[in-house]
Amino acid sequence: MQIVTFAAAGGLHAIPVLAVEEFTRPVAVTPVPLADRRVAGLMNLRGKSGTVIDLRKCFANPTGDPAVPGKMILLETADHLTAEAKRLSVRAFREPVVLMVDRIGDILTVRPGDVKPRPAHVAERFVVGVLRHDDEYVSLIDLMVLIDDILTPKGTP
Amino acid sequence: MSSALLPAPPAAGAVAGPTAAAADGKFSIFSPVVTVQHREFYERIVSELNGVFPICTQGKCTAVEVSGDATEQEQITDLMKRVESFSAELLEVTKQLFDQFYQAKEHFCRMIHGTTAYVKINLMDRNLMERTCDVRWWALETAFSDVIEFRQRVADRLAALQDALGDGAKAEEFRACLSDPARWEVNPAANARLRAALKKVPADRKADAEALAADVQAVSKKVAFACDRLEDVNNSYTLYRDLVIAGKDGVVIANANKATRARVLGLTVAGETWFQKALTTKDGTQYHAQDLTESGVEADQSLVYSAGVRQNSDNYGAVVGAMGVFFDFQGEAMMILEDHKSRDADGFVADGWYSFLTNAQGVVIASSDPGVIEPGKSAHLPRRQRTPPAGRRPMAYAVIEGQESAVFSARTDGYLDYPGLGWASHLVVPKDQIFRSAESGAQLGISIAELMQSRLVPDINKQTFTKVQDDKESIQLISLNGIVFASKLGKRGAALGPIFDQIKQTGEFATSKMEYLLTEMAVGELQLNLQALENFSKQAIDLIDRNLFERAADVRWWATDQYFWTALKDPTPENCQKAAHRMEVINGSYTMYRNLILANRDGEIIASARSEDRHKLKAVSVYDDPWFLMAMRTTASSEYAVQDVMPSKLEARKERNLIYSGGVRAGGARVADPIGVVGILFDWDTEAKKILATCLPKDRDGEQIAGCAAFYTNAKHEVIETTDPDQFPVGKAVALPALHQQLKAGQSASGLMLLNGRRYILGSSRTKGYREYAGLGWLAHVLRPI
Repeated sequence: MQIVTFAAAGGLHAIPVLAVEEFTRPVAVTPVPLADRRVAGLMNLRGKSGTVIDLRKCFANPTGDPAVPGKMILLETADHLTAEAKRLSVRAFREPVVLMVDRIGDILTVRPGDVKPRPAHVAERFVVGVLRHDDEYVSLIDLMVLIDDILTPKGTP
Repeated sequence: MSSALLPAPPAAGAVAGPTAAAADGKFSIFSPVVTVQHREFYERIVSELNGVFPICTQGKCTAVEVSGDATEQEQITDLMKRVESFSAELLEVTKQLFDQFYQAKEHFCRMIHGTTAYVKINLMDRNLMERTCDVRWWALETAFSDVIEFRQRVADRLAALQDALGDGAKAEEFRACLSDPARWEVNPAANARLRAALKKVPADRKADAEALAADVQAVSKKVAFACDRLEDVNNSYTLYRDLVIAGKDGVVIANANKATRARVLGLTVAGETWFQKALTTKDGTQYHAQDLTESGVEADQSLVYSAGVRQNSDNYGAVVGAMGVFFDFQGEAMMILEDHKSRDADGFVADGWYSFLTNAQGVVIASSDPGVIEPGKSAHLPRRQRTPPAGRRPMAYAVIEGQESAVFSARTDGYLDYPGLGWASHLVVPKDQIFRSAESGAQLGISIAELMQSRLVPDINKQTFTKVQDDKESIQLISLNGIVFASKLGKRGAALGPIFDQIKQTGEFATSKMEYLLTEMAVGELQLNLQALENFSKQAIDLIDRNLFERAADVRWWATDQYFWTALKDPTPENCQKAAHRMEVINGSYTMYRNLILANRDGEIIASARSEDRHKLKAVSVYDDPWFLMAMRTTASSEYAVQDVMPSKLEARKERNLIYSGGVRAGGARVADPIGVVGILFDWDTEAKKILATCLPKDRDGEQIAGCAAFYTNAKHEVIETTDPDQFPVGKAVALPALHQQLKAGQSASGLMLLNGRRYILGSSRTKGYREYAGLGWLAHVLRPI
């Protein structure tokens, strides 16, 4: 499976390439009142709108300052996933979501055996595993865990 | 296309600045000065970028092959078009990058070396300007008019006697003495012979002859005294080879140089221009500067300053003779020429570096390497460069000793009221030195990112840097999106993947190489800027050293003044009044002094130059002042003392004083215990500020760069004068990097420093003194915010 790496909060992370719709430079974001602090706001790119999640704010112990301006990753919506993606059980949210990261890295091909389970000291539930690449650890992110936690209202009566 | 970001031709012109307009325009990549490494870089970047176009074409074809869907095809074609457009832009940038690179280097070297050439001729001019003051001042010394006038009267009487005696045999011996080539005025044996002959004249002239014999002897005494005074001058001012006094007939009757005295005295200089011009001066303020010429007085070519010796030493008296001072031009020139050259670890001047001076005709008059650039010959330079127009600093490339070199020239524009002799200074630097790559791996003390944002990097380079980084990102995003797109096509997209991979690699290679070049350029610019500041600080300390040397010479000379030792020996109100008047005259002819003080051995002030302060100074005792104590401890008239910059009770209004002093000895003796002290209060703040202001860095249009500062610190690292009283107030110690504080005499250094949260580059030099003036351990610093 192909994954794309990116830097945020002082570490390297990755998601499946098939979950990505497009990479872009950052576009204007309109803040949403009373939203979760991890939500930067709403954006609009060539008629496509989406909720922007600032990944740099999703970690318990981030290091370094967030890069300005950073990069955006537009994610696929569930209904646009290709057959290949579904076969590889790549998951996507039902509405358009955009991730704000510091920098886009490489596209890598991984085999299931390369991925190790999440180390015990990593608190973030959305990290589902780690792999080694060029002397650096890359944490694999399960987008559904991440997005659900932020965008699906829980516990509200 | 974002053509606004591209270094378009007019912008490239701005890099070179208006002064470079004359240079041969652009550097093509095929110019021999472009280093092999850079040419290789260029070729690889261009070939990689050119390789993108066929890849994109292939990508467009593949799109048609793998997809029947028009939207999909269009999406791929669109990505390819964008890659093509970025590559085309990068190709343009690359082509101009090297031109930009080499123009910047050329410009900067022009600035540094052009300034150096100018500093050299300027140092020479300032020195020569002081000589014009000296000669005018000394020519009015009473000992000189006295000996000339007295000798003339005696000579007239001898001639009258000779006429009266007629052709008789009895007067033969007397006549022989008068026509003797060994002249009676200056040769003791001839003088004795003449006196003996006078004794033998017929009885009717006896009384007349006896009186004459006594005066003939008196002439030789006066000659000896005049020689003594000239020696005194020469002991105080060591930059002369000789000083001579000649009568109106052109016979030299006194000189300063003992070694050549036997030959020089009695010599006739009536045919020499300096002498003839001195006779035509209208009053004591006029002088003549004789460009390098042959003279009977000195074996070497001589630079002679001359002035008329006047009746009764009166400023407006009739001219009775001439004084000529023979400046040690060669010695001074070598000192100036040896500076500012690249040296290897053993202190040898690097090959291909030369420095020389030419006169108004373009003939070499002094050379740092006489074997290569021969004095006396016309300089092998383009005509415009050989005799540059006043105030211009031309630069040209020429082959010197078979080596492609850059020649930087500057012509004197005179100094103050001194117009100069139309000389020019030239500096030869090997061409490859100018375009060599910046030393990599050097400790910069600043991050590349910070450096790229600093004010040192020209805007055009910043724009190029930003553009290259921007394009790099764009190409990366495009190829990543391409790969994402291809992977969604599944098996069909497999053919597209490698194409985007290729594009990504090419883009990264080309842009990272360009980034490397731009940072190399910035590092080079930083190093050249550091060098420039080092040169400026050296100039600042050299100028003050030379200025203070003159002050040390002045005080030694004045300490021998007859009026001063007379007033100290016999302090009658009249004698003190005379000494005070003499000080007033001196102070009136030198603008760089605030006051002159004469103190007796008890530290009481008995005379001073400023009449308005005299009553106040009467109550002041200087007995505990360092300048007084040190001068009282001197044992010879060749010694002097100086009190470093500090407050003094002599001038309550001024925060800082710099006082030079010399011991006054009874009878003007050369070796004896002092009977009092002459102190001169140098107008330190005014003079030092003037010098510092000329040593501030200027930008490409000759405008002063904002935020720069220049200041002097003493041995305790306290500021003693400054161009920026807010940041570096006088009296405050400055925390400079250790490297700068620990400089040894004559050394320079440069580097970065952080001050009040702001980054500066700083150049410093410590005094090495000048001739016998040792300096006070001061440092000059010039800094520039970046």
